[in-house]
Formats: sequence, structure tokens, C-alpha cells
Amino acid sequence: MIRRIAVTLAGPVVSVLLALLVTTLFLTIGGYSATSAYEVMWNYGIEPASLVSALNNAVPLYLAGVAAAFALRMGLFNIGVDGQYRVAALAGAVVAANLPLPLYLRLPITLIVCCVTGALWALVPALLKVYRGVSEVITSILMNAIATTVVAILLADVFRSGGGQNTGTAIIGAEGAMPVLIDLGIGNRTSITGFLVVAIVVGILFYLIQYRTVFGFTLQVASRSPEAAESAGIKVNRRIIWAMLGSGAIAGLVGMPHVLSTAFRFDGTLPTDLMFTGLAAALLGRSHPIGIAVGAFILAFVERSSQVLGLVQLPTEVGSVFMAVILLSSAVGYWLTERADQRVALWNALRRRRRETPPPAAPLPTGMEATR
Amino acid sequence: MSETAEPDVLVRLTGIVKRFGTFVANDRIDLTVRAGTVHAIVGENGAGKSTLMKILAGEERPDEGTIEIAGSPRTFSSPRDAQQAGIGMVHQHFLLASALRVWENVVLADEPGSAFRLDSAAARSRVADLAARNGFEVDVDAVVRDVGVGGRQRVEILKVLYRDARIIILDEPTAVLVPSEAASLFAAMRRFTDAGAAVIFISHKLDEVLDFADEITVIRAGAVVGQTTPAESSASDLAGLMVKVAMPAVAPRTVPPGSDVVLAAHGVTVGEAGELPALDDVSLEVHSGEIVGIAGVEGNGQSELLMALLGRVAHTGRISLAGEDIDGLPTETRRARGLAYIPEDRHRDGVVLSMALRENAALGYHGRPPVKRGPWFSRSGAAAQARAIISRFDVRGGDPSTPASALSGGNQQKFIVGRELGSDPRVLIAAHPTRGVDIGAQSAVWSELTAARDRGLGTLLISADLDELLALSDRLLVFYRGRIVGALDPRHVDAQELGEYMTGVRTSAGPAAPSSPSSPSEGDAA
Repeated sequence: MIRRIAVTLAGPVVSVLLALLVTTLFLTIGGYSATSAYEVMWNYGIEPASLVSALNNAVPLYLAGVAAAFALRMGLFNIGVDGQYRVAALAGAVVAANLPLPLYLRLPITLIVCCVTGALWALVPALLKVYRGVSEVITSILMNAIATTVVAILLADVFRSGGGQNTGTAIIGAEGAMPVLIDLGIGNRTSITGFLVVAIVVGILFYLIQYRTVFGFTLQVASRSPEAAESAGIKVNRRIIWAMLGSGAIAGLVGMPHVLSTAFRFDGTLPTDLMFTGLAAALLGRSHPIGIAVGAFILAFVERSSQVLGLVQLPTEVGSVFMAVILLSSAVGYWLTERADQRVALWNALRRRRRETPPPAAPLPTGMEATR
Repeated sequence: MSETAEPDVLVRLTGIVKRFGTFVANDRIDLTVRAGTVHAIVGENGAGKSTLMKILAGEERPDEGTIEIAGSPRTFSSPRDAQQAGIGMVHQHFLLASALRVWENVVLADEPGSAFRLDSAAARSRVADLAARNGFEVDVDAVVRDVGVGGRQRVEILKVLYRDARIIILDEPTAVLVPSEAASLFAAMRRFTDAGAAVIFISHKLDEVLDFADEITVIRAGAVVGQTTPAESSASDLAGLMVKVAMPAVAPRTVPPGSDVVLAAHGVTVGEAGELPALDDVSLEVHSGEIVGIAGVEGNGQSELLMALLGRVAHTGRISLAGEDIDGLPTETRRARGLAYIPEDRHRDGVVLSMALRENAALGYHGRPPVKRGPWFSRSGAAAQARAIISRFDVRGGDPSTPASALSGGNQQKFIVGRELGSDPRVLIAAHPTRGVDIGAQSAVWSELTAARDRGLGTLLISADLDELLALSDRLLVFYRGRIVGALDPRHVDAQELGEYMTGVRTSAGPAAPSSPSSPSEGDAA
């Protein structure tokens, strides 16, 4: 138990420390004082408005992280989260603006449409992997490029609302937007989005499906030992398809906090690269729903607090560097701790065997006892 | 034969040891191969023949021992080094780029021309010339995908010849060939030795070894157990050396077997179109309360039979479980209907090493209570299953939360046997149930199998361990080249006779003359 917790924590701690180290080096070589930079960032980051902003920004990162983790637990890299959420966000924006239903029906339907759209977009790489053996990494990246084009065409020719410079879908009114969860009322922009609830629900569902259902168990077996899965009657190919569908469905929600709480329409301001940060959160959190939440918040916090650096003549790229190193080192840290963990397990097994083997006569009588 | 004329030694291996983890694949092997001779290495699958050849070909590095080529000691850090020393290996499973042409495959990685330009014309003509000189009928412009198995093997040999190999290793070259192709292969081998090369070929088919080899080395369980020549030995001598000869005392059974058929296969065939089927028209029946043993050198269709019964490979023919056809059913349904399975390789598909025993207890039983409760995976149910297996089958070294990897092999095996027997199945397919386990675990597993048999379980037992087959089986079927070549009574057969059936020297049609090269393919299913 202690070992499990240590292994779970070691990865993220190693990667955050590595990221701090590299960022410090980066600042020092650039002739800046790292300590003062961190001090400014921290002071700005813990302001209530910053914390609320970090929390709101963490929500889409969390969703992206959980989406990536859903596929990761089946051993698949869904690099197509970006494309999936962009297509889904467009569909969601259209439904939210046009569905003639009250909010309590319109909002759930909007979110379901997003999930279905994202899942369908993820189905393509899954089918190609199962039937043609193409790596899901390659195809889902290609699907991102296709998504960009498809969304641009649909936005320009079909769903564009208004004329002139206007390049967005119709505005979503209060009847279709996500309500504010709490408005702290301490200065401007301190309202927490209702998507926090969505994220929590998704996290709980992720946990239940992956850790508590027979389906989650079969996913684990299929990813760790496809041969054992097949012999146990678990169809690995079907698990691949379901894992990608689940991942795509969650990914479909990633763009919606922006559409339903910030822009109130689909337009060019939708962030296009939430996946990599989300993937970093998933790796930091070792694909565990709570770990990913912590990872997403740390990343959103760094992103937010690094914005202040521009005001004090320090490079704002510090945030990006930090995040890039986290993404790199979380993979490395993960790998390192995994290796260390396996070493320890192997070592224990060998030691146990060495203890068991020398007296071959001793274990025999009880070994025979199983005869009865 | 010719070793007196050409006494010079091309290859001398001394004290070769190769370990994989705790498993010793090669245990102090000495081997001497002379120029101008065909040297056969025989032994069962898993005896360590291929490992030894991979060491000679530079693909594996020995843990101990020395390699001398033409008198000078060598260490190979890559297959490239071995190639430069004049060693070429033709693998059992061909290593060809199927999208490339024949000549392209042959010159691959040693293309004539400069670093930036491939001299296609020169390459093509050199390959065509090489093929013509060696009497190989092969279209050098054909795409390898369209070339048959025999042709692909000739391409592999051309690859070796193209690199001027003087020592040619063929790993089970005739396994995929029909007799006429095999005959032309042996003719080609003789031409190489006449030109002063040495041919080492791996086989467990004794008739062809006796016909074509000049010298024979027998390997069993990683060690050399005999060195001889065809003139000095017979097929039954070799069979006796290859398989362990020890007769156990057979415990007489007290409960008679039932009369109802619980598992039946009719004309089951598994294989790719255009190749020799790995499992060829096999029919068998298992009654309740009966253990039917499958004997045979590994790789003669047993694995394919397992996969077909389990529903993991496409097959023709009919399979029925307790009187009902199960051909169209997926593995999951077959298992739910009472088919239990002890896999041949526990690490591959018996347990998931990184998972706890709790999860491993649920493996294959995840679709039914107590593990499945509604859609939920019941950890407590799975843990209770694991605990029951651990206590009933005396599994040591862990509790339900211990990962399977922490258990010793014997305890892992006991856990698997316990899991499969604990579900009260109707039919058990047990493949090598005591492979690699110590005596204590072995006798525990044996007594569980016989106890389940007495309760009415029908068991199909596949094993490489003759002691096990003779001790447990009520009937014995012998597999050779994907067919059943003998149905024997284990009480009235000795290991010698069994070994002859297993190596194709004898079939139920009666003892065949060991010198006839086509004898194994003439014998038909019993």
C-alpha cells in the first residue's frame, strides 16, 4: 500500500521538480532572477481572481486529460482529442443556439450531441486500427487536420451567422448557455462555471467505469495482456473500439466550457491545442481521475500566474517552458518510476524464491496436502 | 561418409551457455562442424536448438563459452559480424519483405552500387546468375508476396549464398515443405557441401536426418545428449535420446469413465490456404470422467487444436461441447458453457503478471457471479475467489492483493489450475499443466486432475512430458504433422514406441521403413 502511494506520487513530484529546475536554468541563463520571478508568479497566482480563473481554465484541461486517460488505460494514445473537441464544439454550438427547448432539456441534449460527435470522430481511428492495423496515433493526428478543414468549411458556408467580419455561429442565449455555478462577487470575473459540475461528474463516471465495472476490468486485461484477454473470452478489438469511443465522447466536451461559458458561440477564439496540456495532466496524474484533477489545476495555475511576468519585464514564455518540460518529464518520470517499481517487484520475487528453494524437502508435505 | 575426406573443422563451439532469466536454454554445449558435411541437430522443440543456432549466427550472445570459426576464436556482437565470418542462417519463419521483388530481397542491405545509387541491373543479374548456378528455379523479378513457401525458402537461401556464406544454417527447413520440395532442398544442400561449405540443419524429423545428414547431434533440455552418424544409429535410438525415457508407476483408477461424449471434434482443420495445414482433419472425442492425452513433439498441431477448441482461430470441421455445436460461438460463450482452459504458456495467456491475484482469479470468469454483480466488478467477490483458490490449492507466496508476478512459477500454475477447476467445468483443456513446476506442485496438480476426473470431468491433456501423459491418460492420441497418427493405450505402450510415433517413424498403419523419406506423410489418422 505504502509502495503504491509512493509510486503514484513519485512520478508527478519528479516531473514538477524537473520542470522547476529547467525553468530556473532557462531564467538564470537569460539573466533573470528565478526566485523573484517565482515570487511574483506565486503572489499573483494566489489572488482570488487568479485562483478562480485557474479553476475555470483547469476544467477543459481536466476533460482533455480524462479523455486521453480513457484511451491510455487501454494502451491507446488518442492524439485526436483536438480534432474531436473542435468538431463536437461546432455541433454543440449549433444545437445550443437553435434547439427550441428549455434550458434543462437543451443543455443535456447539447452535451450529449457533443459526446456523440466526439465519439464518432474517434471511431475512425479505432476502426482503422482494428481492421487495417494502422496506428491510432497517426490516424488521429490526421483526423485533427481533417477536423480543422471540415470545421472551417462548415463555419464559413453553413453555420455562419450574420455577415461582414462575423465568423462565428449564432449567439447562444441564456436559454442555451451553461449557468454560472457560484459568483464569488469579489471583483470582476470571479464566477465559477457550471462546467465544474460536469467535470466532476465525468471524473466520477470515469472512475466507476474504469475501476469498478467488469468493462473496466476487461479493458485493463486487454491492454496488459491481449493474449490472456483473448483466452479469457475478452475480444481485444472490441475493447479498442469502446476505449476510443469513450475517449472521443469525453473529448467532445473539452471545447464546451469555452462555447457555453465564455464565447457563447463557436468562433475563432476557441483554443485549438488543449489536448497537449490535457495529456500532460493525464500523465502527471497517472491516468487517475483525482491525479488528473491535481495535474490540470497545477498546469492551469502555472499558465495563469505566468501571465503576470510580462508586467514586471520577465518573459511570459516561462509558463510555456514549464509546461513543455512537464509534458516531457512526466513521460520520463512515469517511465522511471514504473521501471523502479518493476525492479523492486522483481527483486522481491527473486528474494522470496531464494528463501523458498534451498530446503526442497520442507514445502513438500504441505504441497501434497492439496491432494485431499 | 565424407568427413574422412575433409577433416578440417569450420565451426567449433565450446561450452556454450545461454540463460533467459532463470531458464537455461543452452547448458555447456559443445559442437564441432566440419567443412563439406551436413550436420543435423535434432531435439524436441524447446530443447535449445534454435537458441544455439542464433548464438552461432550472432543474433544472441552466449553467457559463457567460445565460438571458433575455421580455427580462430570469434565474438559476434551482431548478425552482421557472423555474416562477415561466413555464417548465414535461414530462419524457420522467413524474414522477407513481401512487398519487394525477389532480387531486391536478396541484395537488401548489401546492394551493389554507391551509397546513393542502387545498381539495379548488376544486382538483378548477380541474383539471377546465383540462382542459375545453384539450380534454383525462382523468378528473380517476382514480388515475394506472390511466391510460394518453397520459393520463399529458396529466396532466403539465396540471401545467404549472396553473402558468400561457408556455413549455412537451416532452422527446420522442411517444416513447411511438401516432400518433393524437401527433396530438392536436400539436393541443393549436397551441392553446397560438395563445394566445401558446411550445412547445419535443425530438425526433429528423424527420417530425413538419417537420410541426408553426415553427422548428428542430439540435444535435450539444453544439453548435448548424443553425437552419432546415420550409419551408427537408427531412428528408434535417436527417438530414445530425444525424449526422456522414464516410466512412472500408473495409479489405477477406481471410478470408471462415463459413456457420454462431453467434447468432440470432427474433421477440424486449421491452416492458411496454400500452405500445409497446421492441424489437418483431426477428429477426437472426450467422454465424461476421462482423460484423453495428446502426445506429440511440439509444433505438430497441438497449439492449433487448443486455439480451435477455445474459439480463437478460424477452422473448418465441427466442434461440439456436451452434445451441442459450438463452432460459431465466441470464446466467452464457450467458457460460460463449462469449458475450462489451462494454457500452454502461463505467462502469455494464463495470468496477467502485473495484476493482483484477485483480478487474476476473475480472468475468464469475469462475466458471471460472484465477480460480476450487475455491471460492476465485485472486488470482494474476486478476492473471495482468489482466497478460495489459494487455500484449496495451497498457493504460496501471496494473498489476493499480491501481483501474480510475485509468485513462483509453480504457485502461478497451481493458481491457474485452481481457478479453472474451481468453476466446476464440464470439460477441461489442459496444456502442459505441470511444465516448469517442481515435484511438489506437480503431484498436487496431478492429484487435482485425477480427483476432478473421478467427479466426472472430461479432460483433454496436451503435454510434452511423457511421464505425465502415461500416468494420467486413459487413452493416448499421437499428433504428427497436424494429424493423429496413433491411438494408443497408455497401459500397454512404452516410451520407446511412443517416441517412434511422435517422430513419424511409425504410424498406426504399422512400422514404416525408417529410410523412406516420404513415410511420415503416408500415415493417416487413426
